[in-house]
Amino acid sequence: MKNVLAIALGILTAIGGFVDVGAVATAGQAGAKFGLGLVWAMLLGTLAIMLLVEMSGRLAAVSGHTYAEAIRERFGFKFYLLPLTSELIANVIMLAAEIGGVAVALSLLTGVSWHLLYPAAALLVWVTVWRAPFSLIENGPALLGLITLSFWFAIVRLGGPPGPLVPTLWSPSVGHGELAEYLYLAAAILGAVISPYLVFFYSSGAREEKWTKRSEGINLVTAIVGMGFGSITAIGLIVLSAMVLGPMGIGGGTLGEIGLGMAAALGRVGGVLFAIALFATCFGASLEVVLSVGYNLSQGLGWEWGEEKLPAEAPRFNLAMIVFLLIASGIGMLGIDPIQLTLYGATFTALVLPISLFPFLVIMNDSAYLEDQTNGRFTNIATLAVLILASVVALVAIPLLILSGGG
Amino acid sequence: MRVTIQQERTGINRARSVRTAVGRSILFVSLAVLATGCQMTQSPFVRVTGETGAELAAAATTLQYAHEGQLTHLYAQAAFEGYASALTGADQEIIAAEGAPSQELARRLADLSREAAAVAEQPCLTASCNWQGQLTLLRQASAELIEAAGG
Amino acid sequence: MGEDELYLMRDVVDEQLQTRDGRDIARVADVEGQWHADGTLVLSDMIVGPQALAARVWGRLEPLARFLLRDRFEHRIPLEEIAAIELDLCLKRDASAYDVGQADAWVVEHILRFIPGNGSR
Repeated sequence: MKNVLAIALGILTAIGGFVDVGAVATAGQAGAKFGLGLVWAMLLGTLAIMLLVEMSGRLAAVSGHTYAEAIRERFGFKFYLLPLTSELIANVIMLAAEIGGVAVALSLLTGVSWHLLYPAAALLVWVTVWRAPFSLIENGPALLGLITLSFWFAIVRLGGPPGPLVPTLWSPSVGHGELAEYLYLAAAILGAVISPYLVFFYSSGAREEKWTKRSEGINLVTAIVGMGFGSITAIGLIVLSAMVLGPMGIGGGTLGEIGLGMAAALGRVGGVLFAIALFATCFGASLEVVLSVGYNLSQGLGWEWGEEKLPAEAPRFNLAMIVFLLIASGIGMLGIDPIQLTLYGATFTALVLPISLFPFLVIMNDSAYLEDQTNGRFTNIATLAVLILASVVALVAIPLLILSGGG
Repeated sequence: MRVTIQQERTGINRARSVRTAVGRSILFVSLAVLATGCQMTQSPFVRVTGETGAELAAAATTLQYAHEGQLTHLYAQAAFEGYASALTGADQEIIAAEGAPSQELARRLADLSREAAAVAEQPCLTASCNWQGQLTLLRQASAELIEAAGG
Repeated sequence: MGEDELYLMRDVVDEQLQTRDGRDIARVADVEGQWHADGTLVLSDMIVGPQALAARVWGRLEPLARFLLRDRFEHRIPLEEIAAIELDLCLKRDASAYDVGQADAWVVEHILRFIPGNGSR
């Protein structure tokens, strides 16, 4: 029974980590502009993140060392600075966007301007990180995030995707001159879904939860089922946007209009459900991004760390998160639209993805860490495939951003 | 005598050569994509009119839903803040964008966009003002802009 | 540590230093040694601190780092302090016995204690 609960809670966490402002924004735009033609990108990203999350959890469970620790130990300080720096830059943009998502969600519920609510959203994130135990951080937003399953309820309520829409799943309708935008959105989806912050967070979470070699079952189920559920949710948003927004000529350029699909299906309740779902997913993601930075820095530099500990028991860990949150909030309060920020964040993530993922190929084959649980041949081939995918995306991300006019 | 030992990891040399190769590949692919890019993209005029038209369609739908009881007024109010922000400066962008069939069309669309943006700044969310007139304006502006974008 | 066990640099440099009371205090940035008259090199201390890290990133950064930081954050821990080498380096004494173990206490004393809910006594 305890194992069942542990798995269930782990799955909820994975859902909360998968769907964030980046996934909402890219899914909404993808569905609105290209029907079901970008579901493949979401599925591809899902397979990749499932693999990465499983590996990072297995590493932490067997070795008692997190991904960031293993990078520093195995590759040295100079190399460690590369993924650290790229993560800091990507995450500061992402965090500013996620808090923006929280602020917009609160705005949709209260009618108050999101600019005014931004500091309150940032404060809420910080207070939670400062004092809440890991279990609350893990499970609170995730439980609330179950509301995202209402996307599929809305789809069913509307009678499912109409006949002409279904073929776009395997034969996307890309109009003349739209190819750059189509490919850019594909790259952005991959950058939004394959988020290294999730890998660093998950690996540290496994240590916070004191996983051991016997936790491999929980790890596998959490990675596959959790990420799978998250993906289903995001795909639900693509389908809903394709069914409702596309035919109305709506492009999904703001967070508020992405919720119109829910309103079309479920009326006033739909809009409220969308706002709550947006709040839960962005709030959960904000917590995970902040913590992943704290974890990455502390583990790489050798500081005491742990969300289960009081701030005074892990001072530099908490101080680093405070400083990072302040910087991200400063960027967010410049007033840049959260969707624009998240696209920049996803693009930058796509650009530096190979740097953050390359160490997996080495570490996961090191028996000093994994003992008899090193990668099998299939897993190594899959990891190499993900790395090649990440490299391709990194190569084309900036040119596509330029060509498509910034998404 | 004190000697400080500094250690370099052997894996780093491999990583360094991989990074150099990746860097050169990025440059090559970027140039190739940019060179062929003109077939993959829309003109700036098509892009900005399409985006503006889409935002106005969203604004029109939001206004309609708010008055039909399909959205709370609080939601609509917050959503319109987003539309107003997205539409700020759109009229200037339309006039300045390359690829317009004629300057006359660009000016007309810019005027429409400006009027519609004014609605987005002050949407009529109660029954006591002319929300139907606003709705008509938003729908008309959206339709014309989307048509100009080739939609 | 066994007398006849062989350890590599990688077992020491960049490894986590963990004290007897279970606290993580730092990672080893560098190792110092001494040449003996008979030509052997005997390693003596582990170095922890930003100057040593700067030197590893780029040798020319080290004089600049030394000028700015003036050795205030550099610490030496004798290799004899290591009780065991596993995936981490286990030290013989508690965190309070090492200078670098004071860094967290400094942060609490000068910054965190002003924020409510910090949990310090």
